[in-house]
Formats: sequence, structure tokens, C-alpha cells
Amino acid sequence: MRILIVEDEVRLARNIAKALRETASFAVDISTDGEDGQHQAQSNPYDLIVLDLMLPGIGGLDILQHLRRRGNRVPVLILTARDATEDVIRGLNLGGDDYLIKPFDMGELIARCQALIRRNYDRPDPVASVGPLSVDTSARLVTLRGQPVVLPAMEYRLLEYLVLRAGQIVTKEEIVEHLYDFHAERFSNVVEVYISSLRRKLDPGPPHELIHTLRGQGYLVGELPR
Amino acid sequence: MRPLSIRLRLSLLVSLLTVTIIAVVSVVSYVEQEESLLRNVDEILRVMGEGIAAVLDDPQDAETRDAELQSILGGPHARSPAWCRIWVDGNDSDWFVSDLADGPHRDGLLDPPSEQRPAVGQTSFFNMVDRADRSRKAPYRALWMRRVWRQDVVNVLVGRSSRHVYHELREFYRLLLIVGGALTLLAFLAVPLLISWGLSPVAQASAQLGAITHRSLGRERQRSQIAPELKPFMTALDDMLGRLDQAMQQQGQFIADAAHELRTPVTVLKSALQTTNLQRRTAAEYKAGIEEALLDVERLERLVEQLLSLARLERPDRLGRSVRLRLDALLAEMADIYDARAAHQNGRVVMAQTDAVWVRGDESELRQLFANLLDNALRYGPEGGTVTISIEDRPAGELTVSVHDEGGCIPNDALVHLFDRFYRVESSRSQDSGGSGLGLAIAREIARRHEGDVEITSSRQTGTFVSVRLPRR
Repeated sequence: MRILIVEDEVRLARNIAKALRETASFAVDISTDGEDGQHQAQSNPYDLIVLDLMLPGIGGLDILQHLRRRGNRVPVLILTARDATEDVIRGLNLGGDDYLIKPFDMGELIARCQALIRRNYDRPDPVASVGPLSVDTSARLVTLRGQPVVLPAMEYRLLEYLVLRAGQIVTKEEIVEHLYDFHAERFSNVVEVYISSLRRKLDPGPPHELIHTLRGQGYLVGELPR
Repeated sequence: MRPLSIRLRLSLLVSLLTVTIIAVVSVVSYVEQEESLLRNVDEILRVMGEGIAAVLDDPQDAETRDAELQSILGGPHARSPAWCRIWVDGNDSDWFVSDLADGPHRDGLLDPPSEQRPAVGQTSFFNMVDRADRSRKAPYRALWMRRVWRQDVVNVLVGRSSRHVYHELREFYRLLLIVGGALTLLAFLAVPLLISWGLSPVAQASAQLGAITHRSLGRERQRSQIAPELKPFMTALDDMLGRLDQAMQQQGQFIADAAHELRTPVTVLKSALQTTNLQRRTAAEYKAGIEEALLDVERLERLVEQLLSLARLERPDRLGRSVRLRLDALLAEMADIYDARAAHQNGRVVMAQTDAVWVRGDESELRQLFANLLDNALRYGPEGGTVTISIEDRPAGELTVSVHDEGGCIPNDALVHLFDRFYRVESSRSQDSGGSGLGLAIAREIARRHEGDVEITSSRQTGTFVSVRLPRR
């Protein structure tokens, strides 16, 4: 999952990013002013935006309004130090999905981020199951036929994305967009390396293939559409 | 002793005034009444005296004369009979003595007191008392007339009882007592009521004032019910309440701003600690986490420190320890300290050459003032730039200390807000400069406590000048 944090307090943004990377295996981008934040939010397919309201340049509410007017459906979690209820109401009415008031609890922030992402992929159950495989997205726990499987962060990130989109064809470009943050080196063949590693660890092989490769189209987890 | 209420004071005052007026009017009218009654008696006596004189002028035999005289005086059975005695100086036997109804008293009444004797040709009026009457309750009024008549000085004494005068006076006195007493009583009863009515606008005004709480301080109030005399008073009170309300709102805003400013470092600190605590880490990672947290604690500390000094400076008392001190020496010393600090970023702080300059003030406060300005100059000036401190003379016994840095991109619309609490120029906010937004507010507060002020000019060509104006002492 790839997340954008728009927050002018640099160190707070870094702390949130660190917590989200470590705990939820998210790819996280940071933007510390309104203009850059708006630009980033428009140009990348984020799974979630954590948006501060008090920003230099363009304010958080303006960014939100701008995104929604252009049909951007990305979930937005509003962060605000202003506990005035009107701000929260305005934020939600302009298309915000959830809010947190500073100072907040990091655990709560992570949980809310994950909940918003699950909703967005239409998988309200935090435990996603595909055949013998089940992925607990809140605890980052992968089990195969009841046996826990330990995965490195990038592999888990890839698997989580594929499992949340189970039954759909996922292109390699989409995977790259959702796996890496802005600063990461992007080698698309790395995706193939991770896929084959996941197959080795999880896939029982034909005829019960878990991860299908659809040549020229992408990948698919779960049952192939007939 | 408890102070007397205005109502009681006014009641007593007005009542006393009323009683005094009633008493004076009573006494005056009593005296007037007495005089006018006596004047009436005197008039009758005078007419009688003239009648007697006319009878004496008319030559006729003694018997006719006596009958005429008696008829002038009225018979012995008249209600208030008069008597008369006519005699000649140096002659013991009287020419005429009228009959008196009650004989026993005649002796005393026929001998007028010699001190009342008028000059020849004159007339005198006086009171007489029947000397034989032990109770002395029978007053009389008498006329003594002396005139030359055929070479003899003839004395005519005409007297008449004036008892009815005193009877009437007693009646009048009683009337005065009843009416005056009633009026006095009325005054004592009515005056407090009248005064309560008169003071009722004060009571209304105090009821309105009593309903004011700290929340309704600045609210517009209906003042139509207020007496015109109280209007200026109430208007002044309203103005004062308005000012108080404004001050309270500013205070409230300041507290809200301060809470907001405190919340930011607390949020960052909390996020740093929680992020560090999310999973098991190496000692180096923990150390990095602690150092991160310490940065925020320092920022919090600085903010709290500045809030405290602002609160201290806001107290209305005058300067604590005001001494005469050499400003140039103090600034030179600070320039050295800040120069050492600036050297870490290849910057410099220099002090322009100047003569000895004396000011009067609190040294620690002045230090804080210039420390805030130098902090700002180093924080917002360009890296490796030079900060210059200079002192200039100004007219009217003042001087200006300028702190100049080579920055100078403070936008014009930001300049007016620089002294607002917690204000930071927007571009500096995100750079995590560590400024609290209170430094200039504190600096100006200190300068104003020293009867001076702080001004800022900034342009890209000349850099930023922060000028502190202080009175020279």
C-alpha cells in the first residue's frame, strides 16, 4: 500500500512515515507544504492520504476539495490540531473520510489508516482469505493451512496488495505504483523476483495455483475467472 | 461604625429641614399675630384717648364731662371695660377716675409705672398687670398721654384688658402645634418614601450591573431605563466593561494560541516516542529515538520559558531592578557570545564602534530583549552572513540600537504581524526553525516597559533592520 502524508511539521511527518512503514509495511511519501502535497496527491495513485489542515501555501481543506472535484476517490484521513468541531465537520463535508486530532495515538492512526484502506478495497474483514492462504492485514500475519509463514516486508507488501485485489487482474505498473514510495529505485523486474519468491513459499502449484501470471496483462490471485 | 445609608442621611436632612422651616414659620407667625392683636388694642386705646382729649377740650360742666367720658369708656357692664384716670402734674387729686367693675384691682391699675411716662405732647403704650391680682393672670394694655392744657400738664391714662389677646394667642399657639406637629410627622413618614422613589434609578442600575457576569461583559446593554443623571456613570461603566471584555478575550485567545503552540511539540514528541516504542529495536535505534524526543523537549522547554517571561512582563508593575547601565558594554559582551555561536555556521556577529552609552533599565530584561533579536538574526538570516549591532543617536534624548542581518525577504504584509504572538512568517514555519513566535512579542514588551519600542524594516537590497528605540539616561 502506498500512502501520502501531507504535514508541515517535518519531524511529525517523518515519525508517522516511520511508524507506517514499520508496522503496516506501507510505502510512504511525505510532503511538507500544500502546493507540493496537492501535486503529489494528483500525480500518484495513493491508497490513502494523511492530510494536515494547517499547511503553508494551500490549506488542507483546499487540497481535499480540489482532489474531490477532480474525481479522486483516494481515502483521506484528516489530521488537525484545531479541535474546533466546525473544522472537522467542514473536512468531512468536503470529502474527508476520517479525522484525528493532534496529539494523537500512533497506534490509533495506524489502525484507522488500515481500516480506511480495507474499506477502499471493499474488504472490511481484516483477515483476507484466498484458498488455503489467509492474510491478517491488521496483525501482518500470513498463514498457509493454519501454519504461519514469515515474509520479508516487501514480499508481505506485495502479497497484501494482491490479496486485497484477489480475483482481479493486477498489472505490473499498478504493483510498482503501490509498492514503492517516490524515492525508491524502481526496477520492474524486481516484481517478478518477489512473485516467484512468494510462489515458492505459498503456492502449492498446479492444479491449485494461487498466484496466476496472465501473460501480457499482469497477475491474479485466487480463482481464475472463467 | 457602620456608615449611614444615603437614604437615612437624606431622610434625616430633609426632615430636619422641614421641622426647622415649620418652627421658624410658627414663631414668626406667632409674633406677628401677637403684634397685630396688640396693635388692634392700641388702636382702640388711641381712639379712646383722642375722644377723651376732645371731651376735655370742650368746656362744659364736670358732670356732663364725666358722663361723656364714661360713655367713651363703655359702661361697667361692657364685656371688656376700659378705665381712665385724668390728673394734673403736681396735683394730688385726680380730675377724673372711671369706675371699674372689679374694684379691688383699681389701685394697681391706676398707677402707671413712671418709666413709661412719655414726654409732654407724646403718647406711650405699655402693658400693665394688676398688682393686686396675685395670680397675675390678668394682663392689661394702657395708654398714657401728656399734654399741656391751660398751662397745666394733664395726664390721661386709658387702660383696657388685653386678656382676650392672650387667649387668642394661646388658641393660635395650639393650632400651630397641631398643624406643625402633623406636618413634621408627615415629613418623617413621607421623606423616606420619596427618597426611595428618587433613588430607585440607582437600584435599577445596580440590578442591571448585578446581572453582569464575566461572560456577558461585552454584551450590548439596554440603557433606556436609566435616569439621565446616571447615564454618564453607566456609560463609563459600560466602556470599562468593554475594555475588560476585550482584555479577557485577548487573554482567552492567548491561552488558546498557547495551548495550540504547546500541542504541536507535544504531538511530535508523542509520535516520536510511540514510533520508537512500536517494536523491539537496537540500542542505537533507541538512542536515536531518545535524541529525537529530546529535541522536542527542548523546544517545549523554550516555549514554556517564553510563555513564562511573557506572563511576567505582562504584570502591570514597573521595572523591578532599574539601574543605570552602559548599553554599549552589554551589547559588546553579547556580540562576543553570539559571535562564538554563529561561528558554527560560519556566520559572524559584530558590534560597530561606539561611545559610552548609558540607559536606565533592568539588565536581565534588556539582555533578553537583545538575545531574542540576535537569535532571530542568526535563525532567519542567511547562513554564513554577518549580523551587525550598531547604536545611533536620536533627537529628544533617545537612542536606537539596530540589529542588522543580511536576510531581508520578510514580505511587507508579514511585517505588521511580526510582533503578534505566535506569528511566524509562513515560509519559516515548515522549515522547523525552532522559533516559538514569541521572541519579538517579548522584545517589544520589554522595550515598551523601558519607554521605548521596536521597529523592523526589511528589503532584499539592504537586509533586515530591527531597531530598538530607548530613552538615553
